[in-house]
Amino acid sequence: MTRTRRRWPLVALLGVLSVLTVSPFAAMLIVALSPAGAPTLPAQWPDSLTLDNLTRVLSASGFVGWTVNSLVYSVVSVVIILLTASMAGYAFAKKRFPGRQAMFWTFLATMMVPFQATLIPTFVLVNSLDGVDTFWGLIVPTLANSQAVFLMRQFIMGLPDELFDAAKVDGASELRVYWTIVVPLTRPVLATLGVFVFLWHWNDFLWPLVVGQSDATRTLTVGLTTLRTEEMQLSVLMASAAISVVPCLLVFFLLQRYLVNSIAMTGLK
Amino acid sequence: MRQRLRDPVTGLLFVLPVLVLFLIFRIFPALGAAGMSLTNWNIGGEWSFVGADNYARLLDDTIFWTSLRVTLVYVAIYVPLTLLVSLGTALLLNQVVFLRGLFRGMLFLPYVTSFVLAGVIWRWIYEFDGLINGVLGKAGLGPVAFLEQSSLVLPALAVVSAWKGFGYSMLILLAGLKAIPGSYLEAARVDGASAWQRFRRITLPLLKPALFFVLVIETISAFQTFDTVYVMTGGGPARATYTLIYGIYDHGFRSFDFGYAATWGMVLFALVLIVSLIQRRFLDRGNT
Amino acid sequence: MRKTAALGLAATLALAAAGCGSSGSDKSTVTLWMYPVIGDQAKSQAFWAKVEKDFEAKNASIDIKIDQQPWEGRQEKVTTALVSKKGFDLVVLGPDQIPQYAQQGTVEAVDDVVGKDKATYLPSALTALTVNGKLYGVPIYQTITAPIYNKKLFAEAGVEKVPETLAELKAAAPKLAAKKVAVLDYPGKPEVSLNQSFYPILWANGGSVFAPDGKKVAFNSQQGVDSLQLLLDLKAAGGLPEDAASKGNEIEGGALAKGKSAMYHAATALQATQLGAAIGAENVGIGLPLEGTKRVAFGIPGALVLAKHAENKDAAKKFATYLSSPEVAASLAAESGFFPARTDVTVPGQSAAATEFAKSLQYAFPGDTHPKARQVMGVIAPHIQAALLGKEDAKTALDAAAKEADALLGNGG
Repeated sequence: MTRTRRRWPLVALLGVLSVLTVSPFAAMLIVALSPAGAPTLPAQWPDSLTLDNLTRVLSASGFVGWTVNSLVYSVVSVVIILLTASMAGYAFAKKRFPGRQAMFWTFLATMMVPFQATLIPTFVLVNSLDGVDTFWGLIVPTLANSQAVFLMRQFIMGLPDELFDAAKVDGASELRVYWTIVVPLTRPVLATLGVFVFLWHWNDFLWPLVVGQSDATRTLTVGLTTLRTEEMQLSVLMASAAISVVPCLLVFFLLQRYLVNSIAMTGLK
Repeated sequence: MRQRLRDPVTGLLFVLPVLVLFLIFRIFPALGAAGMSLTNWNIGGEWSFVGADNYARLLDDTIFWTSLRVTLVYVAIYVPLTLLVSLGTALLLNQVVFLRGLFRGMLFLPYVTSFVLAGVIWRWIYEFDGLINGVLGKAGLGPVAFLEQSSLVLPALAVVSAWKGFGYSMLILLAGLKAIPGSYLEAARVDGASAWQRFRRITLPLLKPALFFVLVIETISAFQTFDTVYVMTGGGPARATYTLIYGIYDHGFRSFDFGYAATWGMVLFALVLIVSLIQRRFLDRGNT
Repeated sequence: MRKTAALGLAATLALAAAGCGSSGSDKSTVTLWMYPVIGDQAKSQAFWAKVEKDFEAKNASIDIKIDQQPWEGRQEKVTTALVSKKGFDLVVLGPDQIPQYAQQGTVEAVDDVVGKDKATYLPSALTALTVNGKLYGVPIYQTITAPIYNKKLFAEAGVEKVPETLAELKAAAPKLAAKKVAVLDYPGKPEVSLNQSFYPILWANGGSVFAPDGKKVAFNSQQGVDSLQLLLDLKAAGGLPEDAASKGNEIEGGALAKGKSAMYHAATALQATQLGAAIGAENVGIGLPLEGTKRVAFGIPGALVLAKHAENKDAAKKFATYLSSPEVAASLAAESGFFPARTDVTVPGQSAAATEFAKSLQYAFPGDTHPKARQVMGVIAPHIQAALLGKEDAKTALDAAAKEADALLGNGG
């Protein structure tokens, strides 16, 4: 394989870019580890480091509950969106049915309606269905995700038609084709999309804030902000930012190996 | 011809779950917003039908026209910037094997974080006594007021958004590059094609579905950039960053003029739709 | 199409109206949305749990729910709750948000809660919460700013008495400059609210930001120009830090903490404590607002607002009365570090610094509660900055800012 050749100039360039991109996080961590109130970055290097800010955030009384709520919100959404979006993406990419184009572009168009403009109608709707401060009210409206459908369609379009035709000839059912051909072949895309959907939900602020009115459904992102006073010290703020990033990084690195594998299409022509 | 599915029912069944969700939670509220733009609806819940009054008011509103210009300038800076950075990093990641996972993780990191953090960090960087001005000062230049000058503030914000957002497009394009069969490139190499020719003739055409996706998504997100403006400048200085989406927020949640805010929303929607259709015309030919 | 949309909206709203039936228990529930005014979470929880318990013990038929909400996204959250008539009965708001909610008829007047105790509240707090002659908020706490001094630096420079007026401030500048100390730690960075930098000087000189009818700005009056000129004179005399145009007002790591500047004219009590930690509490002086033609200190009330959609208004008012009572107000002030909004309250265990700050409460002014106040600030700040950088003179800077601000007011609708 020619790819395995080490290309040092490219590696160096990539290394510099990566370090530049990441340096703000190093700064965040240093500030988060500085004693509250002591001089620190950007003015000067802190004299000493401490875990106080981190433990202070972690010991917040709602912390465990908020984390569980965030996990429910994110994981349930990831599973359902991956399933529904890949099915729809498959149909849009490889099927012929009446209204296909119009439907697809309508889906896309809903993404272009600014969220600020639909926030109130959506909330009023969820409220009228008694969904305020419930998990379904929190989750279900976010499942209609155009980006996910669009992404799956774009990638499934690239799969050769011959694959599906061959399966058809073998008499496989539609669901079987979906499960044994579409899902395995799009695994890297599904993994990528899974990471994104998780992140979108984990970091989502405005919708969980508005729908979750009490601690029962409050997510971590919202919960951490309820600890913020108006004159909060930067070190504590950074500590809470650092803590909320950790699960996202975990998910990303757990799914790394799926992202690494390329779509196994070589040899299929 | 290709043997696509004969019975249309299965296709519809596959789309059905998504379709139901969309009808209820996207299209219905969007119609609600469209309806609102024809009323003088306020938070008291009182409203009456005002027809096209809000749209007429829009045409006479100089703030709207400023906002439209600000938005277009911002999009024109942000979209090419993000596309170049994400395509560049994706190509690099696709070439390099050494420490690839680590580099990819590092480059993706900004996308993972909150805007609160991005706001704090980038204010350190742009401030008078911040990082860039510190470096400029050592070189005997500056200080430059990045966030206080109308001419610099939009590029400055576009850089923040691009830093925060390029990881997304980078991963999509990387997945797209991975989907290109290595045998195609190998064959071209054997035929003596240069690196540029291989990129131009093989990589780029095969990357088109992913590129089209990224272009459309980044354009939409550029038009809808809210958080960066909110945490960095609040629409200022003197409306130099008062984007359409910020105007919707400002009219709706600050002045509680929801009918008029919805009108801005409809215009923004129409604008994004037109731009996306143009993009489709030029880039997605033969793919849809 | 149009009709469908309008019908859809109407249907949604009708559903919303039908969807808010009551829960059907015989206790009347009152929900309060509270914000993190008490910094320490454990203390905050203990405090509000006790408030809830004490009140319910006295009022068996009322069930109180106190939900902690974040400051962030407050505007959106409170608004969606008012629109859908779902969420809080009582919420804590500041004077800048109340006028619009009141004008659109979503919040209820609460004059009867304050009732006979009216005279015991800070007049400025009540004025700030009154819209068209009706009171829309019950003040439960009050913020205040006052000058803080590094007394040692003044003594070393041979200034016997720390400046208490704008004139004395100007006179002290050269003496401190001789010791390489800036007399006034002016924060000119545009992100710092002008309520804590330029406006207090403008107000002390008798100026105001808006004209009385709110349709024009008035900060480029003679008083405004004098105020900015004072800063420029101070700058010329070495009385401001070198980076005054771009510095913030953080005490931690700032020029005051490092002994490079001598006073800050609009500090909070927390900042006084932070300065004490840096230079020794015995060296920190706290004064009354600097006097020009009058003394004015920036300070706003935090007030309980009653939603019009509240089902148990009487119960909610009872609870509001309890929260604003002297005993609760006193312990809230003690826990939060803010101040009581009424004069018949003694805060237990109040620190010496807080007692000094409390003396400025009588001069409290909530700033301009104009709907565009924040946007106007965004227009003025860069021009003051330009003046401090020597790019514009006082009059040019303020006139240019006024022109932009008037355009903003004229167009905003």
